[in-house]
Amino acid sequence: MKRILTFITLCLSLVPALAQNFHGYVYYQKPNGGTEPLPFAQVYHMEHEKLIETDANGEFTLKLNARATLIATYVGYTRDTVVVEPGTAEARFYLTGENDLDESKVVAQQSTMPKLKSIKTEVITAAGLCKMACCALAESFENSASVTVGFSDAVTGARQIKLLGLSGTYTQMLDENRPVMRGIASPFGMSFVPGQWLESIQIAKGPSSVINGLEAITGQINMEHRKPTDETPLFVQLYGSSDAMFEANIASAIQFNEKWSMINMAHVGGTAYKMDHNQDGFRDEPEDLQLNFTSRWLYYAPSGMQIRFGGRFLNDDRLGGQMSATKDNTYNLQNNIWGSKIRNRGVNGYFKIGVPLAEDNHANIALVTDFNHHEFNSFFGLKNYDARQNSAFANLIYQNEINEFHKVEFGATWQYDDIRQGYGHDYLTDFSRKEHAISGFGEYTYTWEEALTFVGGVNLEYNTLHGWLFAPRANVRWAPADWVTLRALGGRGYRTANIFTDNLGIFSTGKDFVIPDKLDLLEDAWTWGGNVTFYLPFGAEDTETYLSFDYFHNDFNKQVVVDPERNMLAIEFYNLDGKSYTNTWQVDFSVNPLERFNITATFRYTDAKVTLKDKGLVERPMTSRYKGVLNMQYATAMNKWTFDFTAQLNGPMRIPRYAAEVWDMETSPVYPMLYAQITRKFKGIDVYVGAENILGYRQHHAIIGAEDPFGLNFSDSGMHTMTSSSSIPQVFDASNVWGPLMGRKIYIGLRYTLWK
Amino acid sequence: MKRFLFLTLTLLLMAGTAAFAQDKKQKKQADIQEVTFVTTIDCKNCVKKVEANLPYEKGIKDMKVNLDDQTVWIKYDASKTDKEKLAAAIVKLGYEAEEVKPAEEEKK
Repeated sequence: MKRILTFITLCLSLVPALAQNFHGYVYYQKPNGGTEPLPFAQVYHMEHEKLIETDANGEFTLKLNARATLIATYVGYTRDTVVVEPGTAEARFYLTGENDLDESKVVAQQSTMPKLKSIKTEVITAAGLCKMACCALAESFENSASVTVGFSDAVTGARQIKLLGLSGTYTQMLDENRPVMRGIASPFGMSFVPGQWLESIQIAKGPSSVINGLEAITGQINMEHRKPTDETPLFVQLYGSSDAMFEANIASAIQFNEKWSMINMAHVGGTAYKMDHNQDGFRDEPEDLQLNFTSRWLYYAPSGMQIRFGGRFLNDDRLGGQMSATKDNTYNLQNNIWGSKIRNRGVNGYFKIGVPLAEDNHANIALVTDFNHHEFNSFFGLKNYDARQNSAFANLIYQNEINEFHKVEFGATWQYDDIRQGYGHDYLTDFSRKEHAISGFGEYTYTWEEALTFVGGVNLEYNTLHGWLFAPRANVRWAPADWVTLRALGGRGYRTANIFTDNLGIFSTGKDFVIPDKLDLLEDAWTWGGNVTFYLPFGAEDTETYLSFDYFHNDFNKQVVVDPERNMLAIEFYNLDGKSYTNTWQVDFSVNPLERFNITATFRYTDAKVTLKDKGLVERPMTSRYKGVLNMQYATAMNKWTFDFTAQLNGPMRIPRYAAEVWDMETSPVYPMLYAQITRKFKGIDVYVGAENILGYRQHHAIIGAEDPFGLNFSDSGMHTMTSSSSIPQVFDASNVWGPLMGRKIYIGLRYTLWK
Repeated sequence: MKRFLFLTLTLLLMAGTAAFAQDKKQKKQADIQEVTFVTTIDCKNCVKKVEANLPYEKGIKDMKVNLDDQTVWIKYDASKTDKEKLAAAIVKLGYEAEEVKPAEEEKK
């Protein structure tokens, strides 16, 4: 638009300088493309330092003798600048409403906390994502104390996150507000989103909004991908590390015209060869090859209608287990070869449309649809687990911003899941299910200037497995003064447990599974919490110094408990009978002591309890009690050099009973992790080198019974032999990972961006 | 004694070099100027684009883009570039640029 204006201005300037009277017209450019004159707007004549006002028709006249820079402004609107050459007869100025832009105008260096959001949201921006090597989404949380990332076991390389002290399965993952990584796609989901594809990640603790369904219990993590409108026709990233991990990403955004644009992104990555640092005979991480491709399209009509659609293809093959295991030989009882093969394949397609129902877009209607097909085939020494999932999702949302105070949203959602799954050959033990969920929701937002926001919503769902489910949710944000913001939120969430993929680590054990016939898969929890943030009056100019305190409480009414402690030869699944809750406290502090020098310190403490059969209320196993993160970043002028340093202190976890006995420790040790990275920017090219786990800290014994993985194994033959000579029989178990398995890692990467 | 002489000489040489460097630095300082442009930068991506490209124009020492004011502040070496070239560099990226005169800034 601006370019056309410049062009018009230039063309007009070619007209011989005769007429000295210049006419200006100021318009409000509506989001739907229409315009209307803007009366009483201010026009600043820069050279003359004079202010002119438009008349009731949005027009103004002025004598023009020399080149003039005219800036049209109006409170609450963006400004428009036109440089007028002498002799120009007229020019038009177009201002848009500041709130029309759907993207907030926040340009931050890294993790930030947007002040105006009613739910406290931690945002990891592209700059923050670049801080870390972050090969995949799972590795993007190293600077966050809210999110803890760990391995689900010592075999598969599956990374799981924890938010508010609970497994990531209780966190709803959204891809631009579409629920993703559900069901069998969840255990490796975090590894299947290349970090370089992302523009930003938003972490919101607590149940959030009712609009995206009921599955957010501990929080929501929304990922924003690179956009079709990015003016980068080519982006290439290459990465390699000392632990054989490599990756290459390529992205290309093309704008065909004002209406159509597209972005394609491809990823190839993995672990090239096997390593065994702790010499237990097992690979530290599986050999892995991931191929991932996505195409995302945008159609933006002059009427304001938007259509977004796209698709994704994924194939990932990994080979883990003993060093001696090969692709063709993952199981050999005679030679005692224990191997694991996992294949993930997925296809996803989505279509979103938003239609304005009013000229100024105060009312609009949107439809979001998504289809996902995922196949999961796996083999672990003796057990195999196969699954296939088809899911469909449709969400219809009507939104009306009645005025500056009141906004309502309501709509309906349909979610369908068809999961075929089982273990033993050819789905021998079948745990397939089909589930339809149809829900209606409504949400009301009250906003009073910048001081108060209240959001309240209800969602009523009919679920073919669980019947009627009702979830109210609310949050409020109050900023009584510039220097303080208070927030409170609470609500209910539900999900259907996927007992195998939620607990993938159970397959990397020699234990049998005890699953009752009448296991209720519904999980139902209330979460509430609050936050107070103080904005402090020191630190470098133009930056925010804050100190923030969080408290969250999460309480389960219904939960599927996975108990590895009651029976040493089996993992038992049962429904919660008693209490299951977590309390989480967190404090965050951020300051820029100097320009471009940022220090962030965070500390989280979690008290997680669960009721286990025969044991009563105990500390939830494998949940870290605390985590502290200190991050320092210094950048030279224009970020030509960036230096990053992160120190983590990882608190202890309670180790499940049998592992605790074998290792003779009740809790895992406290350990530090240090990260450092240096980035150098050249024109179009960034080069970065870094080190992770600088101290080389490792969990030396991660696998119990590594010498004899088939010993004491019940699951296939139904027989077992006592082969261990130690006083405590050692059942093969690789599911108790509390620390890093790999030592120090050095990496180097390169990013190339071609700008349009 | 020899050692003492050597040390003195070395120190003198170092001081001389430092003074020379200081001199050069002062001369450099005199060439360092600042300018602010009002531009048509109006989106987050525009800011990214300018921040990724402008630093590599000749003579630019430091720069900041302010999306709220739609301004670009540049610190530059006047012996290597001038305001016209800087404005041209912004125009080349697809945005209009007009210098904000310091007097007006004070007035604001």
